[in-house]
Amino acid sequence: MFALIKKFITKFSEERYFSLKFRLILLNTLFSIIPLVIVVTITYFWISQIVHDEFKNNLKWQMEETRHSLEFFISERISALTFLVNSYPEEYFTDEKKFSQLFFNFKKEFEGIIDMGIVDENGIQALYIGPYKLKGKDYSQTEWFKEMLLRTDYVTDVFLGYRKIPHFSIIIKKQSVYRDKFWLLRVSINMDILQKFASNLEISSQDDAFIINKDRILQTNSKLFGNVLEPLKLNNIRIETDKRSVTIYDIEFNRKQAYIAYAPIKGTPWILVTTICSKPYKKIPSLFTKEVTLISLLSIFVTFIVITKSINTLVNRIEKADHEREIAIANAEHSDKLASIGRLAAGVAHEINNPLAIINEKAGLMKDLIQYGDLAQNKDRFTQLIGSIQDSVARCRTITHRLLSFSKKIDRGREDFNINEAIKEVVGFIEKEIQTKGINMIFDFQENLPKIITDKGQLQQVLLNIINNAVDAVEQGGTIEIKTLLLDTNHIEISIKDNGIGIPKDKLKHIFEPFYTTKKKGTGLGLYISYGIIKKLGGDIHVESEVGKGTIFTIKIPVNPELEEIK
Amino acid sequence: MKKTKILIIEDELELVSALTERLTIRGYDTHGVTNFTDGLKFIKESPDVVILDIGLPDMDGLEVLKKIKEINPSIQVIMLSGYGDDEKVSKSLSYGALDYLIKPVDIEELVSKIETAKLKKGGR
Repeated sequence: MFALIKKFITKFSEERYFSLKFRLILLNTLFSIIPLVIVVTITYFWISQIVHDEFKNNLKWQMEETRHSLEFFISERISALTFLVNSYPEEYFTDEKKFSQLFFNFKKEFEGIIDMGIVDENGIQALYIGPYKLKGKDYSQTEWFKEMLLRTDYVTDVFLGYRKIPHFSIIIKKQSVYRDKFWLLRVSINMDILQKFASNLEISSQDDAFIINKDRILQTNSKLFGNVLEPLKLNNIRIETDKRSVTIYDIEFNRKQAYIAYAPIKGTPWILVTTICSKPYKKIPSLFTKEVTLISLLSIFVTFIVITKSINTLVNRIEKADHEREIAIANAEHSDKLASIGRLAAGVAHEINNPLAIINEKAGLMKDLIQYGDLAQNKDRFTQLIGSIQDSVARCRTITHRLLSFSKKIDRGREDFNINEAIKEVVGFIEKEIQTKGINMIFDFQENLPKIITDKGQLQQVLLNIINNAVDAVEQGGTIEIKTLLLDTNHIEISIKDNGIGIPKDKLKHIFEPFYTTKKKGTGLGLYISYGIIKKLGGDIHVESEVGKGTIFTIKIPVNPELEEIK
Repeated sequence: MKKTKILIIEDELELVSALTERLTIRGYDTHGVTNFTDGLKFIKESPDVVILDIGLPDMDGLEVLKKIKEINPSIQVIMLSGYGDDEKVSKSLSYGALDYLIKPVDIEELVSKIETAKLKKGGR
């Protein structure tokens, strides 16, 4: 991937521009996708919350439904039985045959009925129709019988009873009109009916729905908390039996988050309980996440492509502009050199014209001697004059060589030379100007300096620039002092001090900037180029100045730049 | 006929000596010096023509020209210039120099300038 990006963005790029592009693309892409990430995250949590609420509402609704069904189931049977007891003549509840007929008719109409019996006021089962032999059994000590002394109808908990099978009973009391006597009609219903109601809830296989009584005894089998008639093995929940509505809260079950919902069943001792461990509310966000992830990735990809394209174009333009600027500066550097040469030329012309004039006059004199004198007598004079001409030619050669060596555009590269001599040469270039202005030159050179290895032409260009500036800065008869000093084994310091007009502080900080000049005819490139050259040669340049007192330029240059590079 | 007196003030000794000898061959009473101080005593002897280098070690050529003209305005001065310093040349003309020549000079041209100077001096 990285190689692909690199291939994509390094088109026409150097390493430094590649690094710039890479950083810009990375930064821009990051900042561009931050809002997207924020929006997606917020949306995710928002949708999660909605799905969560939806799940809770659905659970509540299902619980209500089941509760209503169960309440209806019970109340329907109570009403029917109450109707039987109050509408049918007494003989239907005393005569076994009629009672049996009544039972079968009832059983046909109402689901889940196992048996039916009549219990007299002493708690003895007087009549019984059903699969078990329970006639004559004594129920006087049972909970429900005691309850029935005070009530007209009653729904029992699930219990085993004499038959040893979990069931519950609905009991209706018939009060005798004559005396303070009564009898009870009791029907038994299989526990499976309750189990069926609980399993009607639409829940997953990991979840559980069951019924408990007010003493937290299971009234149906539970997948997670035990079998019917066992105590509920879930102690950390609080169940309020007198509440009418469905209550939902979250618990930690088996170290996982789970929901528990309960609803008391009106008119019964039961409470419908559901535990949800399957996290159905997580499914929809995951679906949502897939789509959003896809869209987000697509957006990030598009953003990345757009940013990469635009930054590529931008940096390529910067690179092009930099390149053009470099060329412009190189040209400026060259023109600065030419300007320096122009200034030199005046001095050099004078220097060259003097020996030329000598040659001219000596040759002229020789011609005169031939014309006016005796050739044989003047042989020695001729030899002397020719020698003088040759001396003047040598003088011219030195000057022209010096100028040529300086004006070469192509860097000759590093060479070793004595810095003191190089400075003298530079001063030699503008000697005439110095002389005319009556400048007092002081050379305070440290003797026995090591030969420095650097680009002589470039260093001399810098020195010429600074010395020229000093010449311009001083008044007639001013002083320029040039010092050399060995700082340490690998550094030489050259300082050029003048007692000229000085540079104001606010201007001093700009003097190494391009196109900044305080002179009327300056290009503003001299010091800028000098700074660039010194830095390129591995050295350092700085300036101190005080208005009215003068300026001092200090150049620190390595004796051997290779030793610097190794460092 | 009285020889024309010429004084050459030029810092290059070799040049002064050759020029002096050549002008002497051509019949002029020529003296050559390499600085103004030496030149001053000859100026007091009222030479007809002074050939003066614009750049001298001890005093600027223009200053020398002014001095000469102060001492004796009738002395004709021909300036010698090492390079075309237009400003100095035009100043020298305004200070009263007769003409100027750029080194190296052609001896015939110099002679003709000297002759012009002589005529000019004679005409005064």
